Order: sequence, then C-alpha cells, then structure tokens
Amino acid sequence: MATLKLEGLRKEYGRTVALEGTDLSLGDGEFFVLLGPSGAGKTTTLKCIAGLEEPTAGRVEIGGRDMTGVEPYHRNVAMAFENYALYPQKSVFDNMSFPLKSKRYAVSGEEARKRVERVAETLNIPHLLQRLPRELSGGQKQRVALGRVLVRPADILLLDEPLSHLDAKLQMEMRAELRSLGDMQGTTSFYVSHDYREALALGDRIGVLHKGKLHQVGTPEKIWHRPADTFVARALGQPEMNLIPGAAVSGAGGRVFRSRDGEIEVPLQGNPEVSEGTEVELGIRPLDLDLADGEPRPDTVEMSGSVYVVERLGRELEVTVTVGEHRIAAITNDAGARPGDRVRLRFPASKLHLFDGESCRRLEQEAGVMDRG
Amino acid sequence: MAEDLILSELRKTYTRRGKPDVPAVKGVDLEVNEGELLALLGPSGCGKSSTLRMIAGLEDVTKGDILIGGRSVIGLPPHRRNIALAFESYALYPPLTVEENITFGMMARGESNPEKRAREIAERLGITDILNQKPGSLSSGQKQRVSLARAIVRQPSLLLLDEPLSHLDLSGRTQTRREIKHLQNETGYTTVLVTHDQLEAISMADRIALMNDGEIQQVGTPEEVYDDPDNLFVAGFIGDSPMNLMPGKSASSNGATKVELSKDVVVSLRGSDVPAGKDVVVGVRPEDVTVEDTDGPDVVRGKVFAHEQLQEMGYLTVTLPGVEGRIGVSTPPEARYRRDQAVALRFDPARTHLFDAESQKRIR
Repeated sequence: MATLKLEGLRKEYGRTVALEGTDLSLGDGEFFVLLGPSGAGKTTTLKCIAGLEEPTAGRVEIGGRDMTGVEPYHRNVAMAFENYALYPQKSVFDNMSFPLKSKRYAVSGEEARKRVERVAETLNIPHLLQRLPRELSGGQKQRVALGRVLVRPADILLLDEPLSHLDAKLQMEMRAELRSLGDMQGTTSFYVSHDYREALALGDRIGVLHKGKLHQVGTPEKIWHRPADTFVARALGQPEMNLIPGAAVSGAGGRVFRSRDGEIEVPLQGNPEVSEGTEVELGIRPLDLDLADGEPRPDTVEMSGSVYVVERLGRELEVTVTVGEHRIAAITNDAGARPGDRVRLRFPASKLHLFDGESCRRLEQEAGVMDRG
Repeated sequence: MAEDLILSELRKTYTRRGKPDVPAVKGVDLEVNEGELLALLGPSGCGKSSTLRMIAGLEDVTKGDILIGGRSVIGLPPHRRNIALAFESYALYPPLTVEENITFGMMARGESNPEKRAREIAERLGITDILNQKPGSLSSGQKQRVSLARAIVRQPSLLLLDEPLSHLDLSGRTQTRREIKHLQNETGYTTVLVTHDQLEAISMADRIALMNDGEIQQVGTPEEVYDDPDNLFVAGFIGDSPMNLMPGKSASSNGATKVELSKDVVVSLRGSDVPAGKDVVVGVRPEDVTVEDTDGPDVVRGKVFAHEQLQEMGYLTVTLPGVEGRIGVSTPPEARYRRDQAVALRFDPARTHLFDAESQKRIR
C-alpha cells in the first residue's frame, strides 16, 4: 500500500497531446477510477504510472518516492489488462500463487496459501483451485486471471478495463467482487474504465478524463450531483442528462431560464449571481423527470409537449417528449403514454443543473436549493 | 405498402461434403403483423441471421415457407420480394450527394419521379437540409437515416434491419434507437429487427421472438418476455441486470410450494403445485427482491457481500447460507449497507417464477 501522486504529468506523441499536464493525488488505500471514452488518455496515464511510458513532462510519485527513471519492475505495481493468459499446465492455485514466489514478492508457504484462498473466496472460485485452466469456463478463467493480479502484495494496483470484454452478467458479478475486495483489502488502486456504472460502483473517487484533460475529480456523489461541466454531466447517466440551451432572463417573480426557442421557462430562485442575458444550459437528468398529472405541485417545474417515442427499459419506460424544438427524455413507470399524446413533464426544482453557455462550466447555486454534493 | 409476414416450419440446414449437417434453423413458425416491429433476438449462432437472410432471399430455404402479404416468396430472387434491407453495410456512395444516394436505385430501375419521391421521404425522415451534402460530412445518425431513406423510398412490403446499432457508442445507440422507433411508428412499415442486444429489442419492438439454438424460445411483447418468461433461457437472457436463478428442491406443503435452496434457506411460492423432491430453479429479478426490516415467514436471511451505490440506484449482492452463487438486489439510491451485514430478503411472490430444472420450462 502506498500513496500515488501525479504532478503536471503530460504525454505527447509527436504533435498529439495524449495527456495534458495532470495533477492528482491518491490517498493510501484509495480506490480511484479514471473514467473516459476511448482515446481520452486513460491507458496512457496508466502506462506512465506503471513506467511503461516515459512522460513528456511532469512526474509520478509512489509512496512519496519520485519514480522518474525507475524501471517498471522496481515500482512495485501490479497491473491487470483486459486480456491475460494462464499457464495451461499449472492448476488454478499454482497459477495464482506462482507470481508470489518470485524474488520480488518472496511470499510462499502458508502466507501465499492464505492470500490465494482469500482472493479465491471473493471471486467465487475456491472450488476450482485444483483444476487446470482447460477445465474452466471463460468466466472462471477471467476470474483466475484477475485473481492472479489481486493476490500480489503490490503498493499500487493498476487495472485497465478488466471487465470490458465480459458478458453483462459476468460483468455485474465481477464488479460486485471487485467492490467487495476493495472494501476488504484496501490496496491503493487505479482503475481505468469507460463504463460510468463501473466508476460509480467501484470508485472512492472518480476522475473524468476527456481528450487528455481531467475535467473533474470527486466522490461519486459529487460527480453525479454536481458535475463540474456539461461534459461530465453527459459522461454519467444513460439516457444522458437533458441539456437545453437558453439564457437567464428577468421574468415573473425573479430570474428565470428561458430556452432559446422560448418554449421552456424555469424559475431560477437560487441563482442571484447569474446576471441577466447570460447564455446558459439547463440540465435535467431523465430520472428526475416524470409524467405529471393533476394540479401542479409546489417546488416542481413543469413543461408540456407531445410524446415523440416510448421505449421500454426493463420495467420502466423511457418517454421522449418534444418540447418546442427540444427532445426531452424522461424515465417513468407510467405506461399510458402513446406517441403523439400531449403530456406534461414535471421535475423537482431542486434537481436542475445550470451551466454557463460559453465555458460549459457549472454555475453554482445557493446552498439549500441544489446542495446535494 | 406494408404487408404481413408468415414463416411456416422454416428450416435451414448447412451441408458440407464429408462433414456432418449443421441445422441452423430448426422449424420456425412466426407471424409478423402488418405495421408491426418484431425483434428477432438471440445470441450469436442462434439462427436469427440465417432466418433474416432466408426472408431476404439471400439464402436458400431448406424446408418450409415464407409468405409476404399471403404470397409465398420461395424461389423469388431478392429484388423481386419487395423487401428493403437497411444497415446491411452502411454502404452509401461517397461521391454522390444524399439525394443522389436515395434516387440512384430508382434511376437504375427507370422509375418515374425519383427526385420528388426522394424529397418526400427526406421530409418524413427529417433530412431535407442535408440532401445536397455528401456522406463523408454526415454524422453516423444522419448516415443511418439516409440509409433508411434509401431503403424505404421503394415503398417495400417489408423492412429488415440487421443489427442497426452495433457500430455505435452508447450515446449514439440511445439516440438512433429513439429515431428508428419513431420512424417506424410514423411510417408503419412491417419491420423485422435482428439483434443480439436484449435492451435494443425490449426498447424498440412491439413484439420479440427470442431464438436460441435454431428454435424460437418465446414470442411476446417486451412486458411478457420480461415478466412472464416461458423457460430458463428467456429468463436468463432478458434483463439488464440478470435475473437471479437459484437451483433447489421442491418440498411438500399445503397448497403453497416451498423450495429448499439449501437446508437453511427455504423460499415460499404462490400458486404452482409441484410434487415434493423435484429439482427446480427459482427465478426472481433484482428489482423484485426487497430488503425487509422485520423477520417473517416469507423472508430469507443472508449476509451482504457487496453494496454498490450507483447514484440513480443501488445494487446489493447477498450470500445466502449454503446457497451457491449470490443474489442481486436493486436498492433505493439512499440505502446504505455494510459488508457482512445481516439482511432479510423478501421475493415478491407475484414476480417469483419457478422452473423445472430438467426440462428448463416454466412451472406455472
């Protein structure tokens, strides 16, 4: 276990900037998830930490020690990629305990057995320890391969999308196993993922990376409830957060948001600092919207439109509604809506997000109105 | 215009000299109603693509019949079946404009008024503003609409969509799904959508035909396959977070059925009358399991293995004593659980299903 620190870490490939100067500090035992789409620079970051890539500028510190010039082998990191092979002639137990015997870890006998058994228990494979790889299913092999990395007494565990090629069921099972192991083991972990659910489920903190730039670092709650900009807002949640461009204007009873097409007006009680005429984007998560019936309720905002399309998502429905020139998605249990129906959408006033139209940065609201972070 | 499609005892067997025959489609009966969007869903190798190719005429039929609008199309070449196959390859002609891409086929066939028809279709699909652009400058969503426009400008009897979303990222998929569903509502084409993605099928289809191993496992509305599965395959295949499937043995009781998952864990079920000592599987979705504060006759006790807070919801994984595998439970976003915490779970009796372990079929 150790702390991990990135200081102005930057990587260029020729004229392409893969990673802008990045500062990041991981506490001892922290599980950190770097979230971003493919090409964001996630793997580059990971490789710089592991020592497989030389940063163009900046440095990596592990346990307070500058790693510049330190060979990967001497960094005491364990790294798991999405694909890894098992030794075909060795049993599962030997596959998992083998790396421990190396000079680097020098863990053997009783201690090695204990480590393997504890990880095997969590990954639900204790009954497979004496089998050979060819006697395992695909999912079992994945677990063994991951287990082989997890048993190592490394300072830092680096995980590069280890679940990305598994089927949905296996992915969920192993996500729970990693969560459980993280709770128990407390090895400082740096986990790279493009799946926002994985990031929310596993991370003590999450960093959202896009085109080599770290947009926000924070707890899952913070990233979810107070996204720093529209990019982060869109990166988490499916269907994506609805974003409606417009401006802050004076209206009945104070400042209101008015969409560019004039069709949507939302009071902005908690935003005295948003001056009149500021271009803004209003954000509402589909889950915070519902189809409204009856009288308007206090502290909720409504907008009306016509149903564009209705889709089922398991037991819930996703209803897309055309409001003015916007398509607004809402998640609902109300099975009554049909394409073309006139409907009202409702959301709690406290659930709106506001972003600057130009910089795309979040505009903070008064505590109490939106303070969920 | 739109017509219905009937598959009758449809079979496809691939034969190769010196090799055993490979039956890919083993007698499929299916009716697709006029104007309906039916999803042919299944894992790779289930026979759905062979079925689609037989409908399109790209593959010979080994046995059985295909009727479009009541007429058999067996023996007809693809271009005489009046079928449009979209998304086959996204192959738009790069040097031609969008409009030329749409009119090209009509021109080649010497049909009348191609430009007028292209404009009408473009209006319906909301692509009039890009008619003069070339494919290279379009987003993937726009390309797919152009591809769809080109397919339906011929006013086919039947529209076939082959894995239309497979090349898109998550957010592109959500958007395009919406658009296709909307367009299909608007245009009313009888549509067969082939996909391996259960969410795609659930979200877009009026009805789903779920295939496995060359056979149809169940045909039903998305609600039916989700909440009323006919067999273990359907139960396991449908659903974003997988259904909990727990093997056990039935025990006798008065009227109600009890299932022993282990000597310490017994589940009571409503309805189904099953003889004692039978190998069964209990199935319940994570959203139909609740964590109870109080102990009671119909709860099972277990221990928290992991709790994932996903903000929009939570996902709890629980181990039950003596039961292999773990139980997934959807929890409200604000709920918190610790590892190893003791919890009591209740399975919603109306949504807990029982399956015969041997036949894999639902016991109703």
